[in-house]
Amino acid sequence: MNKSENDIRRRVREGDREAFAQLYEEFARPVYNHGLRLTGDWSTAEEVMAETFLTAWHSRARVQEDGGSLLPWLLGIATHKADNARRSTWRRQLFLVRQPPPPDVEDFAARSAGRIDDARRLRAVHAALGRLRRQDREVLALCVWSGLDYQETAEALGIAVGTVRSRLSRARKKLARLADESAGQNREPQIRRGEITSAAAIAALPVREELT
Amino acid sequence: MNDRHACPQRHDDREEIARLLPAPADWDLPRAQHLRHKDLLMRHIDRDQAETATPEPSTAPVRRARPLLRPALVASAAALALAAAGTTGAVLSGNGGHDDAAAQHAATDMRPAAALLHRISDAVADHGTLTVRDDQFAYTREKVRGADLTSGKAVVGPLEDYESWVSQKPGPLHTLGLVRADGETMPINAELGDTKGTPAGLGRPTYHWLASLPTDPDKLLAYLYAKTPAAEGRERDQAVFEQIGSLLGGLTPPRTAAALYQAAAKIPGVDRSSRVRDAIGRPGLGIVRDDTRYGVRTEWVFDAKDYSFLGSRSYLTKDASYGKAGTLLSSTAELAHAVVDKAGVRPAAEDRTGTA
Repeated sequence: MNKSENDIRRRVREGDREAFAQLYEEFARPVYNHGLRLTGDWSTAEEVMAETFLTAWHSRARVQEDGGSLLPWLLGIATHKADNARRSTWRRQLFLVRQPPPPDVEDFAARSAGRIDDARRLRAVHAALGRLRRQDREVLALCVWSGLDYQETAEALGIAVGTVRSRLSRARKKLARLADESAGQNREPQIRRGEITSAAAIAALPVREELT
Repeated sequence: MNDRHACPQRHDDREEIARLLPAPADWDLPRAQHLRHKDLLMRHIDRDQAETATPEPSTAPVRRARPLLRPALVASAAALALAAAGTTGAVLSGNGGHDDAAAQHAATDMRPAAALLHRISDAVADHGTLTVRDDQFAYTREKVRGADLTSGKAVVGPLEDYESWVSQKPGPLHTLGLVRADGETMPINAELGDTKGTPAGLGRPTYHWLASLPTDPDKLLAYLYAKTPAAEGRERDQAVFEQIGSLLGGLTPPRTAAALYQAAAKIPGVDRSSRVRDAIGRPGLGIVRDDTRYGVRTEWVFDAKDYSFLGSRSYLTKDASYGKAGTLLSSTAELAHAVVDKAGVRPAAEDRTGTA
């Protein structure tokens, strides 16, 4: 593997402060986006990101001396954090009944005009993702959206490459079926952009018992 | 196993998924936010390195600003139940002796909710204390139904089974127990932010920790007002009311449960209602509070005969962007509680409670 990658791996292992600063600069953004896609919530994603780097610091001894980019390692930690957040969010919704309205799109519009569609789409995509099994959506987010290859995805999640493949295949089948179903159900003309609606349509399908 | 050359069929999976569900656009935090997180990370590293000579067991890591995320277990424990809830009759039979005490309370406090809570409190206080070892787990079985708000609209889900096994160890833990929901069994991981594990406490109420709380309702209430995490935009009385709900989970020492109900009776805005039902439609006596800021009502449902806790429900009381008035947000029904030796193993014959 790349010499500089091994070098940073070694420094991370040894607890070199500067190596972590570098790691943060390089990967905070992809980690944040991965967390955002999995949780669908901006402030949770921010928390997931911050937590990921703290955990990385504490588990630095687990980094192998030899290997490629450290991004798969960080994304693996972030995946775990996002899952924790998702579960506690679910229970939070159930119990902390003061349920705030969903994140306000206007906030983001103010921050950067023209992102309303993006925000809407993120929500729709995240909701569609919710139709998949947890394991499948994690593989999907890493392997399709974050651009890790099969091997890196397997490393990030601590699973076999074959498992990555089978989960991805299951996710593909399920999404294809949902897309068909929604095409069958949605005869009315769509108002919003196509991309938004396809994800939204998938998300909006009634939940039914999965036999597969 | 080690082939990195994906066959074309497999490549199609990736491409096909990317087509069906394209990645949402990238986002980024403002630079200032990034710098703040980076700075926190660096200071955390510096502090850790300063400590390495004499490792300090539990200097709390950076406290996050928004302590709303809590482990799943809070909630499940949360199940707002009395110590022996779950089966009616079995535990609470023969409470004739309490009626006098209840009548006294009722006579001295005219607020109907307070009177009912005092009666419940008296009924509960008479239960025996359990012996729960640190290496055991509190088991709870519930039916739950909740609304998913991630799409921006409340989508009420199906009624689901929800089982949990909550570790009773006092020290900081990374794995707090197990939950089984929707056919999937998952560990309960430490709260986000608790990099060194979550100790027993408000966020992870073990039986022993609950037993250590003040049993004087006023002191308990003062404690709860002081310790309930503050959250932006959240009314204090409501937060404490919900905190009590979350503490009365699964297994609660009777004296603590009794004190918690009396404390709840003192919170402004707590009222009673006679028309409440839990997640599986069991009717009962209701203790309710309205969160006026968000237009949400929370109801606790108790058995009309023996005052055992049946479940809870919350719903919108006014139209909101994500749902109309009346939309269900969450509901639970308590089915069983027990102390078990192993996480993931159901209690033998599922005896409802180890109280006896």
